[in-house]
Amino acid sequence: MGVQTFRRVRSRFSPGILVLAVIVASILCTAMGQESVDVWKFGSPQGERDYFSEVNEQFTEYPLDVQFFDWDSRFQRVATANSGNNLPDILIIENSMLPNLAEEAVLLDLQEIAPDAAEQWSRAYPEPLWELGVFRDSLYGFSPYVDLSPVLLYNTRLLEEAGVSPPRSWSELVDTAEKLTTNSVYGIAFGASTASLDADIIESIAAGNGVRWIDENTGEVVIGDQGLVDTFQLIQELLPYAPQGLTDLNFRGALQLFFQERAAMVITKSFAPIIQADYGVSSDFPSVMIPFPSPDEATGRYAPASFEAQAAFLFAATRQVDNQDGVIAYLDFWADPSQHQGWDGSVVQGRIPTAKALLESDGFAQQYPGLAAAYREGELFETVISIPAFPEYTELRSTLTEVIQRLVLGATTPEQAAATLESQANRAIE
Amino acid sequence: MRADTKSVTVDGRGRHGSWNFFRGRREESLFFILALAPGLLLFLVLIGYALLNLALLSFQQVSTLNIRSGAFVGLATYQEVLGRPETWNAVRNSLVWIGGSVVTITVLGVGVGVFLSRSTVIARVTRAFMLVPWVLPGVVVAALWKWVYGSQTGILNSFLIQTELLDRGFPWLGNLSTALFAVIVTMSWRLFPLFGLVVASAINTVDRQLYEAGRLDGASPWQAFWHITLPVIRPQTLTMILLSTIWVANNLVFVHVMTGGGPLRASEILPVYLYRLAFQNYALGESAVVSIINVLILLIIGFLYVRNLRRQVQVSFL
Amino acid sequence: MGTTAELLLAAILLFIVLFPVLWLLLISFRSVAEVYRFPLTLLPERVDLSAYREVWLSKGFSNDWLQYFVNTTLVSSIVSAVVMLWGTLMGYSLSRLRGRLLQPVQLLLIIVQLFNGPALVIPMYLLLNSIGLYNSLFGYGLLLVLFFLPFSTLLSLSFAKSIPFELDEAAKLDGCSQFQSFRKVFLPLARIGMTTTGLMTFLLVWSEYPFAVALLEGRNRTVSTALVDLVSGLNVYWNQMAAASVIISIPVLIVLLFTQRYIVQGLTAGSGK
Repeated sequence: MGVQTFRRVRSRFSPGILVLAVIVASILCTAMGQESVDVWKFGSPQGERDYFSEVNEQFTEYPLDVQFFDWDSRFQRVATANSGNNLPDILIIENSMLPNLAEEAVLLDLQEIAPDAAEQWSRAYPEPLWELGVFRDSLYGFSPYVDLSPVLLYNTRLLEEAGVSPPRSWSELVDTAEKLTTNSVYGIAFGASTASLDADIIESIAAGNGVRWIDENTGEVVIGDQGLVDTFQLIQELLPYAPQGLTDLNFRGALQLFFQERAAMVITKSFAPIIQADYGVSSDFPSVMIPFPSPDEATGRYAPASFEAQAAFLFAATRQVDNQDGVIAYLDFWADPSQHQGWDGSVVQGRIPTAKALLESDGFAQQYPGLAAAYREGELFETVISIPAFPEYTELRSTLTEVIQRLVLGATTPEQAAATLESQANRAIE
Repeated sequence: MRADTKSVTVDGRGRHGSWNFFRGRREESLFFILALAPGLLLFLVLIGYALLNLALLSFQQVSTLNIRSGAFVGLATYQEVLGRPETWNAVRNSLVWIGGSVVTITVLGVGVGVFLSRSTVIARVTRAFMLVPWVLPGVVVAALWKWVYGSQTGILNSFLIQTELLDRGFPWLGNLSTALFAVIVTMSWRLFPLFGLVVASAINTVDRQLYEAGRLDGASPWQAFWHITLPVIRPQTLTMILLSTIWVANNLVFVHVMTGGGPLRASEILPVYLYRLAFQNYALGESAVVSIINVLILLIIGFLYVRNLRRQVQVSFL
Repeated sequence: MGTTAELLLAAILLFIVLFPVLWLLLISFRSVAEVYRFPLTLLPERVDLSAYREVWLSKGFSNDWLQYFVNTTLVSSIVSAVVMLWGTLMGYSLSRLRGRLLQPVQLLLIIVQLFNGPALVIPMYLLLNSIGLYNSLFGYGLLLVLFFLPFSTLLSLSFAKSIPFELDEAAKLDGCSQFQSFRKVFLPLARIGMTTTGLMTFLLVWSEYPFAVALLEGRNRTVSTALVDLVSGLNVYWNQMAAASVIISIPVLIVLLFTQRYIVQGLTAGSGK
C-alpha cells in the first residue's frame, strides 16, 4: 500500500511542475522583455551607482531595467549570457574587454545601427577619448569618463618634513623615495599582487617611457626593448623603499598605506580619490596627485605617453538587442554631456570626464587644476594613449604579473624579465 | 567476481537468487528499486551530459565567449596543454593542496568530533555553533581571510608584531613557500567543523551501552577511542574524507580570491588554472582538458575509497 | 574530563571557529574611517550604526535585500528538505543492497560530485537555459538538489550502516511492509544523521555562490551574490558587508540553536535493544 502511494505521488509530481514552471517563466520573460531597455553594469562604487541611477530616472522614453553585478563575475557572466542568448541590450564595460567581445561579434558597431547619431555624438568629445571605443575601425561605445594612469600621490606634510620637493624625473623619484623612507614610513608604495590593475599600472609606466606592445602600422610585436628593461630597472631601484612583501599588496593596499600615512608616496591611477572616500579619509588629508615623473631620457622606441586612459564606463550595444529604437534613444541620452555633469567632481570625485564641455568646466578645474590647465593649452590629449586593447592582452597580462612578481622577489633581472615578456608576447600574438 | 561472492557470504545474508540484489522478497525489491531508480537515472543523465560536454569541448579550439563557434582539432589541445610546464605545476600544487587540507581536516575533525559528542551542556552549546562559518559564502570568507593575512594591513601580522614575535609584517600570501599553506589553513578552517559535526553525530548514533561495556571492561580512554570509537565512526569518517577531498579539489574561490594563484603560480591549483584558461585566455577547450585531468585525479581517489570501504564492510560484519 | 578543562577546550574551539564572524560583528559597528584606521583596535571606539543603515538603504547596491533573503531561505529550506529525505531513502536502500551492485552505485555517486566544479558552470547554464529555466529559482533549486543529493546519499548510507539490520528485519517479521519498516523503525533511529545532513545541506545551499552567480539575476538573486558584490573589485565595503552578514546570520543562528536539540538527544530513548 505504502509503496503504491509513493509511486503515484512521484509520477504526478515532477513533470507537471516542470511544464508549469516553463510556461510561467516564458510568459514572464516575454511580458518583461518587450519594451524595456536592459542594462548591465559591473562594479562601480556606491556613490557612482547612486548617481547613475539618478540620471537614469530622467530617461523616460522607454522603461529601463538596470542591473548591477559584482566586478569579478563580469567575464563569466558575459560569456554565459552570450552563449545562452541572454545578453541585455546594453553592456557597460571597460575598454580592455572590448577587443575580445568585438572579435566574437558580441557587440554591435554603432556606426552601423546609428550612423548619423554616432557622427553627431562624437562631436562632443576630444578625438583621442572618442577613439577608446573604436576597435579595428568599428565604433563599439563611449564612456562619460576615463581613469588615467600612472599618477603619483604624495603626502605634502611628509615631503615638507623631509625637506624634499615633488619628483619630476625617474632619478628624482628614486632619490625622493630614499629620503622619505624612515623606520615607520615607506618612501613609496605600489601593488605587485596578482590583481590585474597592479600589472596595468606598471605597464603604463613603461608606456610613459615609449614602450608599446604592437606597432600600430606594421602590426609587429615590439615589446621588450630597452624602454621596458629600464622600466623594470626603475621598479627594482624603488624596491628598497617600498614595503616588504609587495607580492601580496594590491593597489588598494598601497593606497591604504598612503592614507594611513605609512607610505609617503604611492603609484596609482587617477581614481585614487574614490578609494580615499571609501576609506573614510577626510578631504583635507595632505595629498597631492601629479602625473607620474617622466624618464630622464626616454629609451623606448615610440613617443612617451603622458597617460594611458581606460574607458571604464563604456556604453556598448550587444548583438542581442531586442529593442533597437530604445537602445539608440538610450545611447543618445547618455552621449549628451549634460548627463555626465556629476563626473566633473561635483558628485563623483576621482573620474576624468571625457566630454569637451566638462573638461572646460570649473568643477574639473577645481579638482584637477594641472590637468585642466593642460587641457586648455591643448596639450592634455596629445600624448594620451589607450590602455592596451588587443585580444591577447588579457592573457599576456598574467605573464606581465608573473614577470613583475619575479622581479620583486629578486628572482630575475630586468633584462631577463623583458626578454620573457617579449617571447611570450610573440608566442601569443604570432 | 570472487571478491564479491566472498563479501556476500561474509556478511551472511546472501541467501537469494543472483538476479535479486536486495535482501528479501519481491515486494521489498520493488520498494528499493523505486527508491533508488529515479535518483540514479538522474545521476546517469547528469554524468553523461557533463562528460559529453567536457569531451566535446576538449577536442575543440573554442572561445569561452562563443561556445558554438568551435573548430574540431582532435588531440591538439591535449598535446598543447599536457606539454606545458604550468599544467604540471598545477597538478603538483593540487596534490599538495588536497593532501594538506584533507589531512588537517580529518585530524581536527575527528578530534573535535569526539569532544562534541559529549552530552554535557558545554559540548551541546559548542556544537550548535559549528555551522556558523557556513552562513557566509566562500568568496566573502576568502576575502576576510585575505584581510587577516595581509602583510601590511593584516590582523594576524599586527597581532604578531604587537606580541613581538615579528618585527615587521610577513607576506603569508605573497611568499613562495607559505602562500599555498596559508590558503590550506583557511580551507581546513572552513571544513573541519562540518567533519567534527558528522563524527559527533556518528558517535551519538551508536548505542551508548557499547561505551559503558568498554569502560566496565577497564578500557583506558585511549583504548576506548582506538577500539570502540574509531571502528564505530569509520564509515562516516571515510565518507567525510571522500567528500572533503572532492570539495577541496574542486574549490576555486579560496585560492582565486586570496592569492590569485600567485606568487609566480606557486599556489595555482587545477581549478584556478582552468578558470584562468577559460576566462582570461578565453580558451575553453584547454580549460576542458584541465578539468578532465582534475576529474581523473579524483576518480583515482574515488576508486581507492570504494575499495577501502568494501574491506571495511567485511570487517565490521564479521 | 573536568569541567574546567572542557570549558577551556570549548572556548578555544569556539574562538577558532567563530573569530572571523565575531570580527565581522565588531566591524559592523564601526564607521568606514575606523575600519581602516591604523593600528586597528579590537573594539570599536565609538559604536556607529551607519553601516546597517547604508546597506539597507543604498539605492545603487542591492536594494532588494529582503527579496534576496526570502529567495535564499526558500531555496535553502526546500532543497535541504528534499535532499535530506530523498538522500535518506536512497542511503537506506543502498545500505540494504547486496554485493555486486553497491560498488558501481557508490562510484556513480562519487563521480556525479566530481563534476560539481568550475568546469561545469557553463554547460549547466546552457542546459538550464535550453529548457527555459535560466533565472528561475525553481531551476536553480533543481540543479542544487541534483548536486547535493549524492552527498546526502553517501552520508546517509554511512549512517544507515550504523543502524543494525536486525531491527528492520524484526519489524518485517512483525508484519510490517518494507516501507513501513523504513518509516517506523529506521527513520526514528536515523534522526541524528538526517538532521546533521539536512543542516549541512541547508548551509551549503545558503552560501552557494558559483551557480547562483551564473544562473540568477534581478529579483531572483540570492544573498550570497549580493554579499559578494560588497567586497568585489575596486570597492570593498567591509562594514556594510559585515552589517549585512550579521543581519542574515541571526535567523540562521536561531535555526541552528533550535535544531541542535535533535542532534544532541541521541539514542537514549530509542536504542531499541
